Amino acid sequence: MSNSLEMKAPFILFTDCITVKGVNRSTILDLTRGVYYLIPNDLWSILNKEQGNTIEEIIIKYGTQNEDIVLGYFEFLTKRELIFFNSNKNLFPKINLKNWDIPSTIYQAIIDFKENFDCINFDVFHSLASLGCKYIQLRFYKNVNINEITEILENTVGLNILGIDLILKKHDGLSISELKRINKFLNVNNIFFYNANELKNDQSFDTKSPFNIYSFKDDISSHKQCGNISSSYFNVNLSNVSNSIKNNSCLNKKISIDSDGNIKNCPSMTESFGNIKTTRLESVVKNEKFRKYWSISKDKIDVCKTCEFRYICTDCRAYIEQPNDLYSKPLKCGYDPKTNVWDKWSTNPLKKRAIDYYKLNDI
Amino acid sequence: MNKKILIITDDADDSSNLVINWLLYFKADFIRLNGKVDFEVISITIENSRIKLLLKSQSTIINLDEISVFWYRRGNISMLTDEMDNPFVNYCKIENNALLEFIITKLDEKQMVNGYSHTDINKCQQLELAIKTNLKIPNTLITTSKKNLTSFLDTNKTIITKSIHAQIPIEIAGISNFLYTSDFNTTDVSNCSDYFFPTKFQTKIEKLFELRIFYLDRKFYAMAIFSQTNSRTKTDFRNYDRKDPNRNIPFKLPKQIKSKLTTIMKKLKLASGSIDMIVDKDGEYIFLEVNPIGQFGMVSIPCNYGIENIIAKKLIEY
Repeated sequence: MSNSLEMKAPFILFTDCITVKGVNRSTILDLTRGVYYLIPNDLWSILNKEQGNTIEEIIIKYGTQNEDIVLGYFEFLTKRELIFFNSNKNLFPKINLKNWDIPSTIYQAIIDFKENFDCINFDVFHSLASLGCKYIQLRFYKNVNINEITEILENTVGLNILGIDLILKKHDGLSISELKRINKFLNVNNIFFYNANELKNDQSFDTKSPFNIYSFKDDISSHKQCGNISSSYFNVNLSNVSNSIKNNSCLNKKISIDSDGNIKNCPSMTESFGNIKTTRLESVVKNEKFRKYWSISKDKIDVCKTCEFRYICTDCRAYIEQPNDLYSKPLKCGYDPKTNVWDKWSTNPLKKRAIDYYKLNDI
Repeated sequence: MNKKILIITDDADDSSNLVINWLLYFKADFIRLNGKVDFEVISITIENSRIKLLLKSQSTIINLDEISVFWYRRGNISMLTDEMDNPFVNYCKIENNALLEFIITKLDEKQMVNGYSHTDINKCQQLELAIKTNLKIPNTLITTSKKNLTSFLDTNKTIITKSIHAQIPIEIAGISNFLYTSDFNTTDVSNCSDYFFPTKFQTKIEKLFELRIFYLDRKFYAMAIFSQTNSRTKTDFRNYDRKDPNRNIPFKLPKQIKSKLTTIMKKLKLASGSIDMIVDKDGEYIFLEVNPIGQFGMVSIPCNYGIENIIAKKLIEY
């Protein structure tokens, strides 16, 4: 028997640690420390039904034949500082995760650029800021030079926008040293280079620069590359989990303008709510049809609702397994909560019809 | 009539920035003045049973009639004065001080959450008030004498030292240092001279956890800080551990503690404030101090209390 465990004191799971039950196994989300733990559903039951009881009592309840298993669970919980011991459970109410709310009508935006910039009226940044937008991703699907980039960024100066990410194609007409000219735009957070011949995270090319630079080998030819579901995108924090419980973790409070100027939920989606030349963003966000995706939480999505990762995962409504069913699983997710296996989505024969439908064969 | 909110704060104050984001979202009409606020009097009219104040600060005109709510959060308020070197200097100072006092009185009549007048409350007085309200406090000694200190250490076994009142950084060789609460042991005592600058010592409490409580209009938003298992934060949780941060979780205060704290807040004339307490190994609640303008963001965010939203709505709906 372990002598480091408190056997006779009632245990409590720290309330910043949330348990999420999946069909075959569960997770504990440590919201403060930003990590998750995979646990068997048996332990999920103990954590949800036995809080306030002592380990000694739990061992008696589950039978001495399971003593080693129960002790193993509690050694893990203690080691990771997931539980504490206190006889008054009522003093520690759960964190209310159902009241997610932020002072923004729109929180994040994506703007795509392709052939020319004529279709973008740069008043769009003012509109976004007045809607409360805090993060903007600018994605360029053509070669741009430093003048073109700074010209666009000039339009964001003085606006209350906290972060701008640039997704740029690496080419000879844009050198790393020229990026110094972006230093003065303090809200530029990250620059991502695709089509780069070497993979390098050059974060310190200039200590004065407020942004990080990341490089990828892949060529991103279009928005069709978006929507991948992977454990590397998992995000364990209170705000994200709370948002995911209530809303769609990708599209809630997001607006996008595709490279033709069409206003959409996401550039990868087909439905347009007007062109930026003739339509104001402020009127689009009032449109109920535009907002319909915002409340599609993982709990409403087939398969996802049984998944232990549902509140830390990203979502995609642009590419789904059943294109006619708003609530079907993201097409580009290869995870099966029943088997707990991650497979390649693109070779799954069951997804072939949807892959053909979205013309994703050559991605 | 136009309803306007006047906010005096610092530009870097996170808690007020969070509230102001909500005010912007609700499209509230507000004036924000940052940092050291120098008022310039345009006119103060006192006649025919009405009073009119027209002020200017940071090139903003403030008509007191139009201000429905005043929220003081950070920064100093003073009168704009010219550098003078003539026989009238002292005379003008007294005149200006009288004006300032009147302006602050008039502003504080419209205060919400915090006013300017009750922002710096003597911490010795707070401890006195706590014991009068039957709240436990740590045994406390303020002394200048090594002899007294030695016998205090003998009685209390383990002690800490902390500021009597001040909470300002001390710059040494260009580096800002905060005087956090520190352990004080036998060696430290033996290093003391026989007499020293008045210093506060308290018995060290074996904590179960600490409490940081934001109080607003008789409501309590309490958070338990589990700082005890971490050696960095054992004595002062502000000595943050960024890698394995302490767990800060919602806490429900027992009724009798709430009622005692309400009494203290009333006596201090505070509508809001951050209260620090400790729950010791025996489950006793021990009062440490009230900070009238504490950072509520550090309670609101981990516990998801939405205090910023609550304050914004209070300012608007007043």
